[in-house]
Amino acid sequence: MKHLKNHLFSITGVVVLLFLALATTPTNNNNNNRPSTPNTTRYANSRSGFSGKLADNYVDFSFDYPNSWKRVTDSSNFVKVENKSASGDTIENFAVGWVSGPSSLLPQLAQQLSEQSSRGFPEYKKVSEGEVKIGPYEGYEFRFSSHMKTAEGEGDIWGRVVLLPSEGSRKGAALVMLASSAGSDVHGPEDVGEKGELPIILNSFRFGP
Amino acid sequence: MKRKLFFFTVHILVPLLAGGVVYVCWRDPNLLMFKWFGALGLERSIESLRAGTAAGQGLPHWVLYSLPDGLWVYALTALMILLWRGTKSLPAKAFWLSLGLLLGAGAELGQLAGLLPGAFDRVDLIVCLIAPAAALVLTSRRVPLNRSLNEAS
Repeated sequence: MKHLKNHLFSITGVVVLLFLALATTPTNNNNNNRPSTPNTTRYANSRSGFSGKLADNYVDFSFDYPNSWKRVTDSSNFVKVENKSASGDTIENFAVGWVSGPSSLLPQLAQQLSEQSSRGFPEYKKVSEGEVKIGPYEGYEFRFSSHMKTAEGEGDIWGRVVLLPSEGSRKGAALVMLASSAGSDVHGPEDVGEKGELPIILNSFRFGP
Repeated sequence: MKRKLFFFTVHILVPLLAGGVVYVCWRDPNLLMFKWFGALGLERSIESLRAGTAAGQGLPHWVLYSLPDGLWVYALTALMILLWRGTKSLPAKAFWLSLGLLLGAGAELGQLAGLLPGAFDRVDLIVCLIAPAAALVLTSRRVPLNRSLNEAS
């Protein structure tokens, strides 16, 4: 066959590209047998690749997020997923970080995190805090609002941080949710994780591999 | 032979490696490749590499999330150019040269149509359209860097 060598090398090139595409596939199924819906993608935390405090405080968990959301790089959390508008504004996002401590310490941790958050958000105001249940897990949360003015305009940002305590040898987790007035479903801090698409994530969150 | 090696290094190997570096150093570690690294006992080395290059996580979003795929599509198109340069079999040549474009842009459009997993991204599509065109332009005889190579073939 004419050009046989060329065809073989070309096929090899395509195979290499497909191999790279496979290598960059998210590992979403692990040992978690819960079904995800056709419109969502399963994220399952995996120990490999984390270093420093994230490696020291690693915890297995998984959740489902809408296919239209994207995973974004965030070195201070295990994972962060985000829903952006066509113009690039964040509509909602969800990040999972680590918490190390029993449930009795959570109000104190929430206070510390609220103080940290107040430094990063203009016109920060904590609007509520208290015990909460996320799926089967008892936790503690606080909610806040913030108002930002940028060159492009101004808008509100509403946040909700849920702290889930350590249990036995398993570390806890901090679920950090943000929503903004760029979206049409969330209209205040009381709506974060209750309206929009964040409830899909929150309801599917589970500890374990 | 030397010229082909130069072409292979500049237009194929370097883009392949550059795309790989972005994934290994700065992308989410929950990718299949990190499991493979773990299985190969490279977990610690990868962790050190990622810790040492953590500052790169501040690179623009499109560099981290769109450029690697574009570089790989570029490398595939360049490989086809290298293999099929000078051949007279037009249908085969056209097929292989367009494969990078078809696979890259096709995957994005497949996601848009819901036929393939993953989220459609406009920037990914633009990068996958630009990459094969860039490969054709940058390896053409009009670019001085490649003139001698073309003349030789």
